[in-house]
Amino acid sequence: MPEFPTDEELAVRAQKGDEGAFAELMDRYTGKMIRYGKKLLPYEDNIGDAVQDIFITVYRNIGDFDAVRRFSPWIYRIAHNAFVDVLRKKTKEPIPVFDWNRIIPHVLHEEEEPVDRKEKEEMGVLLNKEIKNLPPAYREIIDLYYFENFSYKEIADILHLPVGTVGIRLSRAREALKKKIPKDYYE
Amino acid sequence: MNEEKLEKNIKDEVLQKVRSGAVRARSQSYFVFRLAITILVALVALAVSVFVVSFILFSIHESGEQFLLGFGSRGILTFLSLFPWTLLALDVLILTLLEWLLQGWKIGYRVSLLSVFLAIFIASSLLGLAANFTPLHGSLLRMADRGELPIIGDTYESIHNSHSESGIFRGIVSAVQPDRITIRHDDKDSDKDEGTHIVILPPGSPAFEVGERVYVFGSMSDPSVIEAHGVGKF
Repeated sequence: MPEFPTDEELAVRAQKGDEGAFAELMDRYTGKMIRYGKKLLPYEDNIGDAVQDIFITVYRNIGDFDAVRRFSPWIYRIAHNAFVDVLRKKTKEPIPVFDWNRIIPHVLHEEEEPVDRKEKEEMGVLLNKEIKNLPPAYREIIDLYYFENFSYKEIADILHLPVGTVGIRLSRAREALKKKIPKDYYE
Repeated sequence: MNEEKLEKNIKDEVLQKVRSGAVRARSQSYFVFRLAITILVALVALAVSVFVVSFILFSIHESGEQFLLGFGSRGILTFLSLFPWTLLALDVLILTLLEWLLQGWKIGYRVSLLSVFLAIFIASSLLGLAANFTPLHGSLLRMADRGELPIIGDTYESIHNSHSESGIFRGIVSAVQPDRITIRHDDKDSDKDEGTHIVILPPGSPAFEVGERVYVFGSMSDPSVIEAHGVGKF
């Protein structure tokens, strides 16, 4: 047994009924889910209930997890669905039912994805200040990219969007943020 | 509540539900069964779609309506007005259902809805085109003619419907003159296209022979005379 098993190894053990492995996954992900929920539902008090629902869904459906893939995009996909449900039920923020970006893929150019970690960290500090004032779709994509450090491909898996559309939405979210942040912060 | 305490509460409550058996993991067989059902429904939906597409192609060919496309803008407009749009809408509905099923499956990841839809639509159209070359629909049409095809018999019978109000007449050539032909038609109903008609041919028409089956697009200037905009041979 590895000393520090990967998430995927723990998930496989949980699939075989190892409750300890599931508890270990909860240790690793409960804080992350709370922070993700707070980004997506900044004015919501019941993050705890939503996060509980996420882990119950994860436990019930752990048999559906494909160990060839990474565990984190899978659990974030479940979390995304759970938080969107909360948004639909409890807030008046508009959630588009029909999204052309989901239907029509955008072409992704390799240079669109910034790879500079330092730039990401600097952006992260700035983003924390204004992210709460963005629409939910922009808050979420900014959080997944700058705070959770997912790649475009992983975000595409989580949000069920074409990879190119992730780039477009992220760039629109950045533009929306620029309008809120004073120019001397980023020029 | 601070974040650390919230984390602990969540973990305790979920693990308590797991340990007490209030929340149970679904078995592997549940997921295998769900996958099998998804595949089965998807295959049935694809088969129905292929059948519908091939029937649309067969009905256009069998009724002769493809000739309208060569009869100028009036012919094209008439073709569009007679096109079986309801069947096409049914096919789109089936493909949408199929797409919804596939989206719920892992194959749906990172593929746009439009790409999946177009891929399924093209696949179903190609298979439908291939099915059109088999004797399937011809056999079913003969069964419908004999009144032996339940449920979809009327749909097959509708291929023979007269569209004289749209200027469409079908018949067998019984006499040929330089600028006109005589056609005889009897499809065992009593509508306007029954009986014998003289067809005044448009300039540039091909030569016709007695016994040929023809498709005429024109207007009736007299109860037995049709001024044709176009005539096609089956």
